[in-house]
Amino acid sequence: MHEANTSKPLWVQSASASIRMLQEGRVSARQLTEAYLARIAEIDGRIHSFHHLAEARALSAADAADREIAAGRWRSPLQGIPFGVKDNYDVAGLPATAGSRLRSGNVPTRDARLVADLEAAGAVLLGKLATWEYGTGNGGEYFDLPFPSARNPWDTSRFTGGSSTGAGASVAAGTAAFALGSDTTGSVRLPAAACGLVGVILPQGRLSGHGILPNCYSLDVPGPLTWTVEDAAVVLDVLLAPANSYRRSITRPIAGLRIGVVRGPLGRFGAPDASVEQAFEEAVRILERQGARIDDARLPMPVSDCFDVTRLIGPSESAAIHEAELRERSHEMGFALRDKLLAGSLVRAVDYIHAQRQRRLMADAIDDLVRGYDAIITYGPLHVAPRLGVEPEMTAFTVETVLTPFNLSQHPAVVQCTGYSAERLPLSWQIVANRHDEATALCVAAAYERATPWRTIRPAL
Amino acid sequence: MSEITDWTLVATADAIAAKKVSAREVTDALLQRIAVRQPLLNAYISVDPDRARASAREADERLARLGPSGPLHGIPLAHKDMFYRPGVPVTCGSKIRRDFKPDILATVLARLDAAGAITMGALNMSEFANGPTGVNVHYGAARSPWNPEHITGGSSSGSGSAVGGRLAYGSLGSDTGGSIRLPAGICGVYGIKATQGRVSRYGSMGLSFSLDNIGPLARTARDCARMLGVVAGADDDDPTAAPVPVDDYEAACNIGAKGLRIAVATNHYWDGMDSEIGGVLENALDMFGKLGASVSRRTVPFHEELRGLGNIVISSEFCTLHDDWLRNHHDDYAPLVRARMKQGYTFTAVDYLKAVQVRPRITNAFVDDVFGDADALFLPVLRFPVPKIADVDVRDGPRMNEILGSINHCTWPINYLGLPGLSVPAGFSRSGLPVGFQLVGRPFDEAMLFRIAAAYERETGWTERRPEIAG
Repeated sequence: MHEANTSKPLWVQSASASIRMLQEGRVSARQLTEAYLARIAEIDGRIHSFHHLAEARALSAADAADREIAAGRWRSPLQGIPFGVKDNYDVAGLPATAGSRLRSGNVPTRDARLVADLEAAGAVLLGKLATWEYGTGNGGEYFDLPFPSARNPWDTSRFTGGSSTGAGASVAAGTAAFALGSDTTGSVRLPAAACGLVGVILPQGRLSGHGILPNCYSLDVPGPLTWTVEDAAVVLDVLLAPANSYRRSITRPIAGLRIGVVRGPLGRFGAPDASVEQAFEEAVRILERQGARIDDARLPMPVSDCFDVTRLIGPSESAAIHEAELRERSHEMGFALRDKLLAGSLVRAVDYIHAQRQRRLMADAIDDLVRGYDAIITYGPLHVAPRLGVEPEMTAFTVETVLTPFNLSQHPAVVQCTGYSAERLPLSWQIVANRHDEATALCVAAAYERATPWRTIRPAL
Repeated sequence: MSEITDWTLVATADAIAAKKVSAREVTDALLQRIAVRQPLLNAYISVDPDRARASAREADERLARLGPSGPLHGIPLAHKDMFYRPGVPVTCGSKIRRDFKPDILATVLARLDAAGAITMGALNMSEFANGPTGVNVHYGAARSPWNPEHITGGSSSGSGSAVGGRLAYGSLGSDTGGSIRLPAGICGVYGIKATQGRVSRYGSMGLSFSLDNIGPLARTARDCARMLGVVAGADDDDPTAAPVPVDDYEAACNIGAKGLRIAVATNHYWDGMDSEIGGVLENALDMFGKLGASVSRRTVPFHEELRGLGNIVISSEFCTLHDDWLRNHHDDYAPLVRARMKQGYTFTAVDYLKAVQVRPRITNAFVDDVFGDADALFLPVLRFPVPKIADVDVRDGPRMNEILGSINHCTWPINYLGLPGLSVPAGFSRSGLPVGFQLVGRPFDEAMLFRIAAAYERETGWTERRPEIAG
């Protein structure tokens, strides 16, 4: 007989807290899944985090997890933990529409690799999370997709960040304990930032992209969105099985670590919002008080130059991948996807090739920067979550970020919450580590999180 | 005793190593011949006698002290003017780079240096390696040693002319659409475009980074095999240089062709074949029978696609490399080069991406189809007798694409496939100009091509005929 802690709903706590309760027998996997399903029933009509909910399937998986636990069999720490995946991931037997009319009726027969891995680890899949069409966009919101647009749980008139919109909304609102999204030029880290979460990307090849609708082969990476750094560490431990567990690594103190603080150059993008900047500076001081050695540093090029290069590479490759759909079914696409694919279709070969050459030069220069430190800190987005679909703040929010350099350079990057604005909108920053040293980025993020109260605050939906 | 400068590379290297002749004697003899023949052939852009003699002297001193440093010890070579050596001018056959001096050393040159080779000077080439005729408005056309009114082929025009004209014992060229194989076949020598990635390209001028290849031209199969063996192999400085072990190409020359299967492409590559040239090639095919190899005739797939895909990739990449210069040095390009370049601006990124992405699939399909039951594919080099320079100097006129396309018709598709192709001398037309054929093989199967070519050469001796020019 499992006794749930009924003083607060189960979805409020982190996945790690739920893991501890499960392992201590204080809650069952079934109860946990029921709690998330109840939360979905309660509020998903307002935040639209799910495109496709698989309730019976989830309960069945939860029951199976409980049977195994009862038999003393633990597949992984994630056993029994409910999660969602962006709707551009394939799950056998569930719709994989990628938010698009063009893929209505598409039901894959094979799981994406990361989905298979998590289910093999005993985690409980709740369903497919909202996404911008095809997991991409042009920075704007047009309300023209076959699903209602996901809403930011911190203010439902506002944008979740994209393109992993549902992943951001769900983990913040408690309709999933953690989520998997995908990131080409920010689509994991931007919703993590806008929704007050932890979002992690790793260099290509670390996490498998198999079974995820491709957007841009040169830049696509999958990535988790979680409530806490510990949660991200647990998910990555399960997916990557590193020699040194991330969950253990993040308990290390950060005293003595050399950290480069990068405030620019921001180029065309202008200054960050005052609230973003203020939280950033306070966060730097927190690291300093913990003994980190803080240095001022600069990106080797204006960040808007990095953005410009991604705008030549990303849309072109998407247009090549989805050429047939653009030619034959563009009238069924939402405006954002059609706009992006058309833009990509017009890029000249010489400009694409030149952009790839620029990318290499930029990646090398950024790597030179990062290698001078144990980690560097940058802004994530420069602004707080905008009102959904209102321009120019929508496009400014998605475009004016310091996310793209690390897609070009393929460094591990962690976005995390640095507090809340006066309107209670999440603020964020980004921690970047050397290639193959994501543990240090997680470690710095964990040290900061331990020293702050932000994880005790959930959106007041 | 035949003149030293008519010996093969291998025979000369043996003679130097055995001290029957000194490097200095060889170099001096060659310099004398260059002085006479260069004005006729225009194979060289620049000759450096002082440097050559100094290198020869060093080679002799080293030989006396320590023996030969490698299989090319004391051998005078000359290369297409596109390989970088610190402080040494590299014109790339252009006006824009007339005064360019690089500060890095090409890996292929470093490897030849380590093997003991000497450099005589820089060889003529089509401007920026762009053009299959050997015409060059800045430095003048290179001329065929068999009849100076006729083309050498390009773009390694000076390489073909110098090696065929016995003004160097071997030469490195480059091949993106035929630029080693054409001048080799047209000038009556061997030239190999090896598998994509077989030879490091570090320190060499680029034309199309996806399709460029560097390779040697030389007078005999064994000479060519030896040079390839020296330059081939992985290179930390060139991540596209494949870490595939380098075969012993010279040893392959000894094996013989018995039991080998040779497929002849009857479609596309044989279209419009001149009857005289066709006759020479048929004689070559008959010879394979005598060697114990079997010959089959078949159609081969994808030639239309390969032409178009290669064009997209090459011109997009070429334009990217030259974009700045085209804006800032527009008039310094030959009109023909500029016109060919401008076609590249019409391609979209999507065109380019698709062309690049389908490459492995088409290559695998081609290899499975063609080499499933053949060891080598036999193609012509040219389908007509070697043209006169005057007949192909069309600049950017309306017949540009037609004329140039007819010349690289048989070589162009092979670059996109990335397969190795070896030009083999196969005789002469009635007008005394060379006829050659190509052998194309599986990836990294250059040894097979040398094996067949050397057996054919032993039986036919075409490489012993010398051009009749003074000097």
